[in-house]
Amino acid sequence: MVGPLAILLAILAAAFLILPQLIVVPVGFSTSPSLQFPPPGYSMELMRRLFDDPGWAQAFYNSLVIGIGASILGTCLALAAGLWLYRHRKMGRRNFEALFFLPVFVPTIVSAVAYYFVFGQLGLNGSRVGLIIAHASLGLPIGLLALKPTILRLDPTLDKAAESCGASSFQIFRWVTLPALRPGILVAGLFGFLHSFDETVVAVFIAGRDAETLPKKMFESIRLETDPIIATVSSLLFGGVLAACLLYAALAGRRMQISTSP
Amino acid sequence: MLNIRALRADQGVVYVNSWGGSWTDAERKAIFDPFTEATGIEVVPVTPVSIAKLRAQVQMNDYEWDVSNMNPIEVYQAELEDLVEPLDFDIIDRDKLASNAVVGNSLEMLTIATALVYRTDKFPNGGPQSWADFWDVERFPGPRGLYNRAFTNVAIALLADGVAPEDLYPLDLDRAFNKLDEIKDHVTVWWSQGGQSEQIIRDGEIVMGSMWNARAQSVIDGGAPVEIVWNQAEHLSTNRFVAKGTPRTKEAMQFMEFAVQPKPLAEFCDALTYGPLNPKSLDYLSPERVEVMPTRPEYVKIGFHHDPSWLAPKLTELTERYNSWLAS
Amino acid sequence: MSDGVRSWLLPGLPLVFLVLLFGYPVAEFLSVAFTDPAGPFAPFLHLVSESVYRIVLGRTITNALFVVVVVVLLAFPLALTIAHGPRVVSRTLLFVVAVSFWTSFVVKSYTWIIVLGNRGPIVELANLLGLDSPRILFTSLAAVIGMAHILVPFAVLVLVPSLLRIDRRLLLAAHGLGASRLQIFRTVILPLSAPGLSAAALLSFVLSIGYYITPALLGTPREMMIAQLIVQQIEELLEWRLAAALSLVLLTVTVVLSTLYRKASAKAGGEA
Repeated sequence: MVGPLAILLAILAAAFLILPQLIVVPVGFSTSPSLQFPPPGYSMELMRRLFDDPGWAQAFYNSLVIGIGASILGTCLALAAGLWLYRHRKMGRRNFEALFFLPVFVPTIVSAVAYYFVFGQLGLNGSRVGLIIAHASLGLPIGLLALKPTILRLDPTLDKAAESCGASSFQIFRWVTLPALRPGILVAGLFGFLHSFDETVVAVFIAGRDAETLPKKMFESIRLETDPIIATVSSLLFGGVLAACLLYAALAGRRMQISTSP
Repeated sequence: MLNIRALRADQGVVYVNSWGGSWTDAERKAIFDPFTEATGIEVVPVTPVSIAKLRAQVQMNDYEWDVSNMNPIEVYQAELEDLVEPLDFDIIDRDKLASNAVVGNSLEMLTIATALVYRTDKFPNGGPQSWADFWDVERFPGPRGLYNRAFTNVAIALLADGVAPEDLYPLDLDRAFNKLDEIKDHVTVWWSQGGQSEQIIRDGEIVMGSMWNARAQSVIDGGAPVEIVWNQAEHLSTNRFVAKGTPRTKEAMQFMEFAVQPKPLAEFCDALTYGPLNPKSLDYLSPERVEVMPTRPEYVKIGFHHDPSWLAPKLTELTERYNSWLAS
Repeated sequence: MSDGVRSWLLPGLPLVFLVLLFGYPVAEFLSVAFTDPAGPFAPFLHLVSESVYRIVLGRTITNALFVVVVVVLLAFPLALTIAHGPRVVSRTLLFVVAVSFWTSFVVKSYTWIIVLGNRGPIVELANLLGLDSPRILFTSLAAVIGMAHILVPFAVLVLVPSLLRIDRRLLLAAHGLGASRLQIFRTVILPLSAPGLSAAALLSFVLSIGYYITPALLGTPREMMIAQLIVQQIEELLEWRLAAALSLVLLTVTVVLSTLYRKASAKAGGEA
């Protein structure tokens, strides 16, 4: 049904997506300070400099900590919201969905500047806590989207069965609901982490000196550094995303879940 | 209002605002490490340098850096807005300073020249030698780059239009902006950071542009076919100062005194060919190195200077006008 | 499980969190636009009277429109093949889209600095072919390419579910009735994809008008977009009120279009 022309165009589009990133990898190992491709020679010098620099290590560490924090916080909140919105097919509840998707309607630059402004007054700029809060709020819609299919698929009869066996509400939640939701929770957690790890605009404004994240440091370094060390970082990050996607594909097994929500 | 960060004060550390890339590398070797060795106080560089950040810091009582260095015009403006901590001469020993070092509440450090720079491989028959040549897109075609600083570009526009350096001030803004209109579309990169300027000339994104002399010299030392034109270069000093109200004034003042001492300053200027303003620093520098610094008397004569007392009060207004002009 | 107190706790916690820690900062910042001593609407009058703001807004919208065109042209065949193409091809393409989706904006923008740069493959290729070095980097074109590169995965992820809803049997039936591939595309696929396409287009538009990182790195201050203008007001001039007014304008445009998007996406088969 999908003709060879469409497939060809699709492959070209995919090449457009992935080729530039593949081009950057060799530049990250270039011997020249110039951003030329193909590089004149290869060496591990840039990589060595990267690992020797405490600034980059600190930024990576900050991104990890903030990502994990935002992921946990965001997923818990999304879980609470999702259970209320989608579990019991109560009519009016769907109308509140938009409320939880509030961050989606606000352009990221506006959120970033707003946080910079308000956090500045509260002294939360330049703190990991501030970034965790900001990333959790911005990531809540993503967590919700990730959990929605799993929550919709919860079987109410299992709850009733447990209830008739004498289980309390808490026990039902802990032993019936949560395990059933586990795949959705893991996906929501992963998405929340990746979203926070990659998030740039808000971090540029509120990370400051002490909570500098990797994307923020990269953004600022692009103009400050004169050699392709950013390409080195990019290759590492690209490698990480590649590995994560391969892992996910392997775990998801045969049934590739294509999300049915926008 | 509750300010969580003000509650925590770091001891034994000073945060120094720095320009990044090769500047920070040179600073670290020549000034930061020796300072830490001498006093035990850790130095953490914080980039980038911006007067807006200074305003934000003081306004929000949230200090990312304690000591910065900026050109005298911005320092003057900062003093007018009460953003600069008065020099503490209980900590800073006047006898250790050069006689001309103190300017208001800042300490003069070195001279940076922003000069016309061009790629010799694009102009084998001779490149531009003046700002008028820079404006001449017929004789010297090719993409250009300019440092995106309002007052620098206004001044070079006036020079290109035939104004003599002595007659630059008071700046005729209307005349300058008219002249700038001619070159606007031929400037492909309006650079804002040193590293960026090195990358664009080295990689040939531009065939000529304005650059800080030391960054240009780095690129030349690295083998790129680039030449610095000292004619009509802008000479500006850079002065160190302490942000007003920072919790680490003691460490900051100690750092300030150390940073303008002859030897550390000389070593810094040796790595980056800016001209040290402490005369005793010249004792530590080789004559060849001094030859390529802006402080060389021949270069000073053919360059131009700004008038901070005229410019500083008008700086915000000029920047706004410039920004609107550029984006339209 | 929804008894009494607990049924309020569930939505309550995330709502309070969002309202306090997201809604409040945004509202607080935007309200600053009205605090000018010269009058509550002074910044807005300034925006209207100075031509630079109209020019920047116009340029932002134009760039966004170009982005939408490029994104739709690239995402449509991708999504179509993922939804209805041969299994192996579909899986591989989806993998590529996923990897691209999860790569950060900064990394992606940086890749274009190298690819479009004067020492990069495009210029080298042009030189090899005897052409003059094309000037792409640091122009609006580069910014558009960069933004499109970021948005294609988003568009694909929006399009695929809606394309999946096209009943294969319709395609088979049309084929059985003797329609050529082109005819099937024109009369069956295209009309049924329309809601998904418009949702993807609106999403791309709404996102790209607010972009900062990519235009800042790949474009030029000479042709800045609205997000860069907002940042300039704050970073260089600490003009909170003007920045807030600009943000309010951007937000209004985004909200109006987002609402249209939700309606379109609901028709395309998402949840209302």
